[in-house]
Amino acid sequence: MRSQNCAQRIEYFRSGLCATLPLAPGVIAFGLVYALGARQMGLSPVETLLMSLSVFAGAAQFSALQVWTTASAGVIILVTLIVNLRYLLMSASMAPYLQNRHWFDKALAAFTLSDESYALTMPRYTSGQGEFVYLTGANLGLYLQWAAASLVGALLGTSLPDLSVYRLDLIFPFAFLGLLVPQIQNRITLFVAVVAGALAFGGAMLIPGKGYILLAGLGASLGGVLLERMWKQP
Amino acid sequence: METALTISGMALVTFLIRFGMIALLSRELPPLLARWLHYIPIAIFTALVIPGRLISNGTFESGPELWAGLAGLLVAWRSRQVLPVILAGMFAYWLLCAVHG
Repeated sequence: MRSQNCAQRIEYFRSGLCATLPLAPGVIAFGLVYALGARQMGLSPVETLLMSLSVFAGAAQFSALQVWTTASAGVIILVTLIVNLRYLLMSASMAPYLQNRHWFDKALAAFTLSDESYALTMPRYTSGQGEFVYLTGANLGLYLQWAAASLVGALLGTSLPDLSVYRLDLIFPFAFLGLLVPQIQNRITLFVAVVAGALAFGGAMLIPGKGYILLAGLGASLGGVLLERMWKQP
Repeated sequence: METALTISGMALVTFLIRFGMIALLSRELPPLLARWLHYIPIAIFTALVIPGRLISNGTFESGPELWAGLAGLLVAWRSRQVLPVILAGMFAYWLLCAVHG
């Protein structure tokens, strides 16, 4: 019984790890671009890798590099904070599923939380099939990809071929699309998606950076609750 | 030294943002809050679908990204799986770029 349970946990861990493989070309291409940028801004290979290992937030690391040579440490940290604000919403919505876990597990899940692992894991949690080991497997897969790409990019520097023409960054929106569509199961979820799309679109036009994710995440989810309340009233 | 401190600061604020809500919401939640949190993933997924580069400098650029995105949407609707959407979307994008020149 015990060993069967253990085998199942390994299976969940493995499927979490494997779920990140289709994203690997995108993560690795982004990691290489980050590391090249970091080296050009004067970071040493060790510093380039350490930032990836300790911050583990691609968009924030990339944004910090944009102001690296012109801004003070305080401003760089503030930019990091602003770009990462969307994680407040993501971690809040993940929190109910981590309530019965040990504090170490919570801290580990928080430290390795990313757009990609959130997108891979939340559909399972919301459908009642969430498993902490699956989340850990997905987080580990993405962490290793990001770390390996940062290391290779930091060491090889500008001798790498230019991959930008292939637009591997588009892998992410396509993956999120594939994860989103099966989630839309009724009128309220369709409404939330449409409102979120409109807010994200408008927000991306008007607000710089990743603020549109926060705007759409807050606005559309609140809209969903309001609509749900209205329809429940007699 | 300066660089090490800056990186440490970035790591600290990033961890606190990711951990704060998980630490705060560690008890049974009020129903209204729970329902609100329930709709956040769909809202965030939709926002993540819109790639940053589709909209540059405040203007919308309808190029191969948009048409490849519609192809991806069709595949997502039919297949309900991730990998076919990535493959169809990327190949549609590359094909459109090749045709456009």
